[in-house]
Amino acid sequence: MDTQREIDATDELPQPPGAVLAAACSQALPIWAKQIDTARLQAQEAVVSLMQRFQNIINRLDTALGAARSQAGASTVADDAVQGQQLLAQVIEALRAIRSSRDALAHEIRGLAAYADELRKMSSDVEIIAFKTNMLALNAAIEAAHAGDVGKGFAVVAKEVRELSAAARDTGKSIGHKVGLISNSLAQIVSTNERVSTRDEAAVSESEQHIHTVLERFRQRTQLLTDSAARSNAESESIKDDVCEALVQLQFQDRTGQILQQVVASITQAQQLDSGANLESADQRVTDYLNGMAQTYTTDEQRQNHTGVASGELEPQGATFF
Amino acid sequence: MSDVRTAIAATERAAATARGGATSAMPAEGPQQYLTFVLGGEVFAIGILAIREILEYATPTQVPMMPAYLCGVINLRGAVVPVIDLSIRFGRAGSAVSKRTCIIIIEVASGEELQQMGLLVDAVNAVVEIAPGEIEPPPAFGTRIRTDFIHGMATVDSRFIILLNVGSLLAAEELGQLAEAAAPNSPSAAA
Amino acid sequence: MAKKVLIVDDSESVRMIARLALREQGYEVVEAANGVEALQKLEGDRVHLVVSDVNMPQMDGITLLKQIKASARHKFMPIIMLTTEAGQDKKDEGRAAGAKAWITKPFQPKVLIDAVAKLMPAGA
Repeated sequence: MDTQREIDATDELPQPPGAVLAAACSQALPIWAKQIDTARLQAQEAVVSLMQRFQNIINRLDTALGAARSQAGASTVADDAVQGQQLLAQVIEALRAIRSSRDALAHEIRGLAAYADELRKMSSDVEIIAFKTNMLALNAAIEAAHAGDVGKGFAVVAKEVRELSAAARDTGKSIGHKVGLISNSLAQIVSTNERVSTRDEAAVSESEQHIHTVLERFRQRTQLLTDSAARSNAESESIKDDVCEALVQLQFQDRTGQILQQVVASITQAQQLDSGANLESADQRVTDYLNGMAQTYTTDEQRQNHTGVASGELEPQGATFF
Repeated sequence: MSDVRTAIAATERAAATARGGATSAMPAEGPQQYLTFVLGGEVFAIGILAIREILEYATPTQVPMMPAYLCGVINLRGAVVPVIDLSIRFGRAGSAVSKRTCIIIIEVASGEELQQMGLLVDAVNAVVEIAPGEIEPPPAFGTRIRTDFIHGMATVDSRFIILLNVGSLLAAEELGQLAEAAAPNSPSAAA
Repeated sequence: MAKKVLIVDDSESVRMIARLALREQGYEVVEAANGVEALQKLEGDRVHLVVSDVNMPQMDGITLLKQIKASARHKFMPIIMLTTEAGQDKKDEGRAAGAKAWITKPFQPKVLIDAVAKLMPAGA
């Protein structure tokens, strides 16, 4: 109705109420249109630039997360630790094998000692045989003496036998002595071996303990590292999600841009209302203009604003499939 | 050793024929053979012709009511032979038996008969030859055994040895006692 | 080989959000600011699916939709409309022209990703 009055007022002096507003509007409209468009463009530019930065942040987070994932840094260290443990277990196994072969050797040596005992017995047997041979030879000598001259030759043989038996006795004694020496050596070897073996065993188990301690410490450090890496990753993921969410929120720019664009278009069009040949009545032209304006709306809230219904909160909706 | 004994027994018969029963040590010009043996760490010797044989030690059978120096009797091819511990006979402690302990079988004249008896010794050594000139009379003192047991002293391989007088080891009545000890157990001993 | 999606929207911010969302899913993304540019991109690139705005300068989304469906080569191209338009008459128009889905702005990237995954043709 106001518009109707403004149009009528232009033909008359003094100016009717609304004429000044109409005149001001006709001057101001193109300026408003430019101002609004400028604001729209500035907002668009700022939002796009903001989104660009957000995207950069996302890219960098992606790079960092990708690096963390591909290296899987801490877990590689953990794998190394496990591998190291296996290798060291092999070393310990080798040491045990050495020890067990030494035990086998000790067993053999004890076997030898048993042989030495047998040898000693044999040497004493030799001495007994020598003793008996000596007796035999002496008895032979006695018989020979009783035989007088007839026994002379036999006496020589008996003497030889006695000397042989003495030699056998000495040899037996000497064997016994040597065997004794060997036995002592063997006993010493066995005892040395056992001493070394005990020491080795202690060393092996000590090494084992050290290795376990070191590996356990290493594993704990690795765990800390892994945990902190995981925390850092989770943190990064969460930041990235936040930034993505922020980007989604910035969609309002698209919407406000469209609304402002439509306003600018309508303002520009409004300036044409009074120009050219106007066959229709002023009322008809205003109605046409408003109807035309409604045609260019692209959002529900524009339409709701147009009809005076309060626009509701915008909620993202799901997809409609056809 | 049983085969050894068999061998000795075989040679003994041959020898017995040769010597014709004469077994006492007889003085001669040439060197005589002696058997040396050990007793209580000292070396003694007996003329070899007084010896029948040497036996390995076997525990003698105890005989009751006999003097301490008599260890017991042994069975030598059917004959009962008394065994004397020379150590005790010499007035010392009894001999400890070792693996070298031997019994020397000797023959001594007992009246008209020859009496066999065993002497327990720590070990037998060897048969040595000693010329009569090398034998010195027994010292008046310094030995710890009765001098009438000793025939003389000699040096063999720079070692003093005591030559025993086998015939004087036991007095006649002592020998008789031994013969009695042997008699009831062995009828062949009387033959 | 990655599936290729053409995003047609005059708003750079909308293109950016769609691009981020789809690239994250392993799609290759090409972009056009209006219908005319979109048709040019379709000539050159082997595109598997189109996501298009409705209100755009030079050539709007419905016209683009009709032209794509009219071509022999892209007759079976799945097309998702992504627009501020929420009116049933617009949706009906899009459906009649051959659109497969309608997503109203503002949108959650997840909704777009799910729709693309659902409509992406299998095979090469």
